[in-house]
Amino acid sequence: MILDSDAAQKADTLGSPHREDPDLLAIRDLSIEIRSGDRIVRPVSNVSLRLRRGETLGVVGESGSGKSMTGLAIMGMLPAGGIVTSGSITMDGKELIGMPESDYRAVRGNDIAMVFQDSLSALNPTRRIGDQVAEPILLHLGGSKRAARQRAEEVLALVGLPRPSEKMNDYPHQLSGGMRQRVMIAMALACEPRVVIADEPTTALDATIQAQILDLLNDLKSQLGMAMILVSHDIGVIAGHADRVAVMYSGRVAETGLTPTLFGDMRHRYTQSLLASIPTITHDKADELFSIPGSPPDLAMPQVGCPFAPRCAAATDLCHEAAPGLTLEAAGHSYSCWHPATGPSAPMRSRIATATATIAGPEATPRLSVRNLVREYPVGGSTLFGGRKTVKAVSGVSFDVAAGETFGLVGESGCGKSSLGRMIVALDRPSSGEVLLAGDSVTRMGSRELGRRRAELQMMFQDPLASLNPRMRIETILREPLDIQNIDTRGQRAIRVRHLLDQVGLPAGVMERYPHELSGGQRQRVGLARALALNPLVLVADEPVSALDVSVRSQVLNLMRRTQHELGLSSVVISHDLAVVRYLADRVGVMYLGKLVEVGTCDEVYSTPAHPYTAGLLAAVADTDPLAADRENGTAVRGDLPSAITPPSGCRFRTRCSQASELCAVVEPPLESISGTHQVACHFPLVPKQIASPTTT
Amino acid sequence: MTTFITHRALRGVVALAAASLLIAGCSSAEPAGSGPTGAVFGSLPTSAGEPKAGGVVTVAQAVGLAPNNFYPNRASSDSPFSAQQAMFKYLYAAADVGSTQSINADLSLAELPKASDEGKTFTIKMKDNYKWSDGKQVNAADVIFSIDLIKAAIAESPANYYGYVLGGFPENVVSMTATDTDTLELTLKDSTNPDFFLNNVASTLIPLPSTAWNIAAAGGEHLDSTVPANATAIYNYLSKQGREQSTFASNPLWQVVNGPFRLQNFEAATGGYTLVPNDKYTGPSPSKVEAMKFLPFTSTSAMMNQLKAGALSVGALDASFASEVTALKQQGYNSYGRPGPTQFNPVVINFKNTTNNFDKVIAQLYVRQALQHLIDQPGYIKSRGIYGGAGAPSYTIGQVGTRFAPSFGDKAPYPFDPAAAAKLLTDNGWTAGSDGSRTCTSPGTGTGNCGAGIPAGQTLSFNLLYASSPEAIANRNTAFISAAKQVGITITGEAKSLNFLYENADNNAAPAFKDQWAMADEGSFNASTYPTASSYLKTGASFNLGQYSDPRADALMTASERSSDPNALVAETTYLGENLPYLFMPNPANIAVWKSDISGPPASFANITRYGLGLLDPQLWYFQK
Amino acid sequence: MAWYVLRRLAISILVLIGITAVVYFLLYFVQGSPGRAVLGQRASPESVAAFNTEHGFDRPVLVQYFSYLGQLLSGDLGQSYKLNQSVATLLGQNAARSAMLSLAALVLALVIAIPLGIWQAVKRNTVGDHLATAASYTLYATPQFLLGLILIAIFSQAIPLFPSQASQSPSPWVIFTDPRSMTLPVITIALTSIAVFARYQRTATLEQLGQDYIKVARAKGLPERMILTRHLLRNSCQPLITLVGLSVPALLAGNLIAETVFNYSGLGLLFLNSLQREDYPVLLAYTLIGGALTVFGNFLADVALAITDPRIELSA
Repeated sequence: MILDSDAAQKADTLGSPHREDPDLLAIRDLSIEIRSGDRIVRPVSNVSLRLRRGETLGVVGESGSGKSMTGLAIMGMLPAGGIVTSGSITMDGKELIGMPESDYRAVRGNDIAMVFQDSLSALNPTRRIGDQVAEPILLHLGGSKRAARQRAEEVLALVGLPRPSEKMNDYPHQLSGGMRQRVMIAMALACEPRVVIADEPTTALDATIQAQILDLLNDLKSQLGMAMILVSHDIGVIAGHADRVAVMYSGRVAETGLTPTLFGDMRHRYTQSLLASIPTITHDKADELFSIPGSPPDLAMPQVGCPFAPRCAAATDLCHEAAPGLTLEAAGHSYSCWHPATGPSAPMRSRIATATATIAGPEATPRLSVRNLVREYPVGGSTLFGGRKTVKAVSGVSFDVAAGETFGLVGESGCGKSSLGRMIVALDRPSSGEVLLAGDSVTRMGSRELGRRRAELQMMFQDPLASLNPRMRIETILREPLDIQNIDTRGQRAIRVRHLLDQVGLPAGVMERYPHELSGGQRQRVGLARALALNPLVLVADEPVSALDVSVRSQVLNLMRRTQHELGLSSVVISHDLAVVRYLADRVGVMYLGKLVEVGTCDEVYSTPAHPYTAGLLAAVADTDPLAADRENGTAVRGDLPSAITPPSGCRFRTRCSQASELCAVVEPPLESISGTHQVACHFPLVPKQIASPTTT
Repeated sequence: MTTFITHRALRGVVALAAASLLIAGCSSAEPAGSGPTGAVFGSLPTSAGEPKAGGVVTVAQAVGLAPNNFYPNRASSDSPFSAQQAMFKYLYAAADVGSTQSINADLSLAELPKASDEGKTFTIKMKDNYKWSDGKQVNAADVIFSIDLIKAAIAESPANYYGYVLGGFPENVVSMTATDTDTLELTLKDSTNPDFFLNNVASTLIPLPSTAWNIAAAGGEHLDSTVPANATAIYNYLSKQGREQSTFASNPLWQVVNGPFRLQNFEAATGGYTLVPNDKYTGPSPSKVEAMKFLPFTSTSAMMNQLKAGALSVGALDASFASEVTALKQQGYNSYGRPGPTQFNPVVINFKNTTNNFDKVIAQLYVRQALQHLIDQPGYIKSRGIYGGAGAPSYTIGQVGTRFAPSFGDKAPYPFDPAAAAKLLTDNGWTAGSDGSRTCTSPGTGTGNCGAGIPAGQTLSFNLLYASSPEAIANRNTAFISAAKQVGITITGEAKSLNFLYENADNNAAPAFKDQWAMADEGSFNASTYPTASSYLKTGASFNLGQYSDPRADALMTASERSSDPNALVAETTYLGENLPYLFMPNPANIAVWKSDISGPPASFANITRYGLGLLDPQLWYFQK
Repeated sequence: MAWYVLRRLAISILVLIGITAVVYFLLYFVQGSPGRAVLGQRASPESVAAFNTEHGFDRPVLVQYFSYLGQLLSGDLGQSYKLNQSVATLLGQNAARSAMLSLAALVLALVIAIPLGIWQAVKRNTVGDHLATAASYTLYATPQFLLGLILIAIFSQAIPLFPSQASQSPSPWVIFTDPRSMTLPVITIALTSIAVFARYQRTATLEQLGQDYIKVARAKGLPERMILTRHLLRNSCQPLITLVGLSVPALLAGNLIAETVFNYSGLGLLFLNSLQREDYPVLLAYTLIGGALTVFGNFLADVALAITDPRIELSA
């Protein structure tokens, strides 16, 4: 059934829970071009979407899929060189495209408001937040400055900012990320708009905060009777909070439908592949993740056929030649695919033998041992007089990693996991404590010996573009560590480089290219290859996939898991993403404010979390898991991370813990065993402690 | 009016002149004229119009030379008032530019000195028509007072008197007596040529008010300055007061003057000052104007802009501004230019440079003659790139039109003539090779031979260092070098900073550099009004340019200093012009510009070209009715 | 804040003492014989020796340095060799005039350059922007004295609107009492600064325009003009504040060319002349003041930054 765009809109209307409401916002056949110089990019092509009163439309897609551009087009805020080439956007039947700028300004921030991704730059750093929130009120609603501030305070209270009257006079940098995001929501809602476009509203936030913000948005939406467009690359976010979902790919809408339909019974091959490639905390670890080959198309190239065809396993010649039209199914479910799927793909069995982690006996020397590691950074300038403040980044962390084992470190940003990672590979010296590599103290090594042993400790960084020298060819980048350590002859080094590329699944042709010529996934493969170049004993991967798009992420994750097993590496994987850690690690440590609060095997920690914090983290993730069966909010972590300069006394988590008692404020709980491999640092663990802990005998 | 005003004092002017070249427009220079008066640039209008009382004459001060000592017998590091003569008259007034004399007897405070006792004793008779502004007569005691203070100053430190010459005046004064109030008898150690005495000793003297200034503290006791201890105390007091710039105009000491003007106002920050007529002045031609304002300038181009705006009455410019004169004429300015009367522009020869036998080669007079034949003085003067008409040829020290002019007059002994140069070389055993360069093919000391110490195969090849600014210096040397090339002499030119040359070349004060320069052109030098070269060309002189040493020249110079023959100096200047102790370059003109609404005796404006504003007679100027 | 100031002050004094030592010894080894420098090449060796003894230049250099430091502590900057005045007097006479000229030029430059830079950034890569950029480069590349002379030729000689020289009054307030005569000098100095400042401002504005808060402001429905004045201006001025802070030393001394061309006696000229006269006490004091002003300018910039940017805290 192939329909024209009018029919598509009609189809779009059907099956909505808000069927009776008239369209609040309608986008028809929207196409956008951005010109810069001779280059023309078409970020949005023939997109049609509808939004009804009270509804949340989730728009999901990878970077470059056109989702944010669609949002900006609604706001009339296309970037320089951007024009709407065709289509229309109507709000309450009023055409927005071509509206005079002064009229548009009256709509912007008033009828339609936008919540941007939190970044420190999203709020003006030099103006007080009260003024920033009052600004649109004064602009659109008029009235006195005082009245506007009054209203601003009300809105700040509404978004749950504690002590709003005081915070009115704060500057953005004085607030935490979560608070800033609340302020941004307050700014958007100040004039009670009818449509809110939330563009990646929680992407920069930690999982515990993310859940709070999404719930807040949801509540406010119903409270104020707004409609919302929730734009995100995070399928979990969309799944948890949207009534309907539009999946975008390469500037087009691939599939639209009610949320349960879309995730439970998708038709488009892209939707299906995307969902299959996301690791979840309930994923069976024996299964290898599905990964979509290749990378999204270049939007500056004219597109022929289905844009997903080059990456689609089901693609036929037809897919490459003709763009699929819109197919309508029941309940407003529509898609553009020549060979529709029928629901989620079956789990794929891993092609590699899942070697069970070789957890060494207590008598064997662990490959890597971290003993009581402490790292404190001074803040503020050095002083001639008086003491200095320090950030307690890492406060006494100990754990062992056996040969061939992968240890995962999870925790919110600022918990000290990256500092720990840097100390392990000797990029930073601990304030106290030591790191042992196969029994030898790396910390106490002189610089000459360390230089020799450095080869055995390698690191893979989060941002592959920033960590690769932009002026070096890939071959040079990979050969450099070999040159420095003076390994092999020149000829042998070239062979080794070729082998490394092969190992990470890159063609030899990549050697001649520069980092910026590669895609994000390719660059991260180079990052891994470089880390592997010297046959390290220990590999520390700090947020190895968080900068990558979803469809590419699974490629790298699979690759990492395969190499870990093949090479018998001991790895430390650091991530804020619990699912990633679970997928890669054998054992996992949960960090909170510089301390390990729970350590155990993945199964233990994920299925029976003992620390309230771990439970809270898991709950926050479950909340946004599209496939999670039940969503419970009981164990959610409240509030913000306290300052690492003056951490709370006793148990550091007590300020956010629902079970905290006075004991927690006085006595710091030690890390104690629950079972042979499972330890927790809590006075009131969710799983009872072993009475006769082997460590205490 | 010093002996040998050094080139160093001119340095500030030179540096800024370079920058000001940029504003030289396309206006063409005035045609160069020349005549028996020696006027070389522009013409002197006759004094016109009836004098009108009142008005303020504004004068542009020389750049970077703000006065910083009021005490007239200043130290060598001090800058005097450019109009000092208008307040404190020299014992002998300088003659007008173009006069055959060097002294203007009529305007002087004393009759010309009379020599006696084998030229050792000189009698100076003071005129009686000059009074200090406190009513006291200017008399012989004032001259003795001045000399006593100079002696006291030198006793403390030779640096304390700008005119100090080792063993010279006043150390060679055996006695000085006032035989009566108006008559001074001065006896020197050696017999002294009367012209030398008049020009190099007597005319440098400035009588000081001996009854007003003979104190050692404000309101202090009047002391007898003939007692050396008193003289020292007085000198110390006066020289300290003289350096208090903030009290220049208010200190009662400095209001006692004998010239036609007194200081009314002084701006310590900028060096600008105002003179008003001294109403107690008793000499000839009292001032007709209300005031003379001396304006300070930070650059010659700033001065030029003010001239163009018509905001200045009088200014002094250097030759590089010749091209601006037409523009100034349109603004209603008169202009007149000529070189200073004792100026000379030597290409200094290093007679001791042994590199490539240069000392042997240059010792040959015919070589120096050949080189002088290659310098096209009239051509350089005419050239737009060099002097654009604002200059005059110079063939020895004494200038044409003065009593000390050489006997060959204005006829060049070795005029520009490359053929003559080539012939001199050929005749003396130098043969041009296939590439044109000359080598000595006839060594020996006989006729037609190259000369003593010059071996066969010797080349004519040496270096010439010249000041990198002003541009004219570089240009004239480039022209010279290229002319030399034509006759087979290879000169390597090298531009150097003036400072570098002062420190390393000219008088070989840097022995380590002695063999590294053969010739050097540093631009203009000034000699005294009695231009004997004894201080810079005599064997053993402390500042001997290029270590020139010639027995006959030495004898002539001694005669210029010591004999009683009034024509001794003519013999010296004639011989030096022919013997070529250095090569002569043309003298650039100093240019005087003054607005046509002021007038006065033509010579009073022409005199500006002598030492810039150094010896002004501003009382002669007036606004026309 | 008070602690911060005290600490900075303590460090500054140490830095300044360091500067005196470095400059003193450098000049000592450069100058050779001060007597020769002061009295000239023609002075007799006796005069030179006498001068050196009189002024203590025959003592060991360390003794000379410490006696100089001692003088400094008692506020005595020494005596000029050539000008018969104390260095303090000389600086006092010239500093205020130089500072006022520079300050006026600086204010003018900022008033023009900030809006111009912002305008260029907003209209980036348009004809107007390119023209302004070309003009900036031209002005920056033009030697200042040439610029001054061109302005004089046009606005003083061709069209006699302004005098060709600055006011000759010794008062530092001539900017206000005789603005017409100060117009050309101020403009000459300002033009060069405008070129630099506008480039900085353009770059800084471009960076700020890329920040999300601008997008947020737009999403609020604010008109562009208000976005620029309320949100962008303060944030985009910060690099310029640092630059201006660094140019504080030039405030006193940086106008040599303008002072020369416009006949305005100031510190820059005093320095040049002292250099030519080898008047070392003046050079030494001048360098010291330059050092002090650099330290002070940095400090001022830090404080100004802390005031404009709440993220910066001046903590001890």
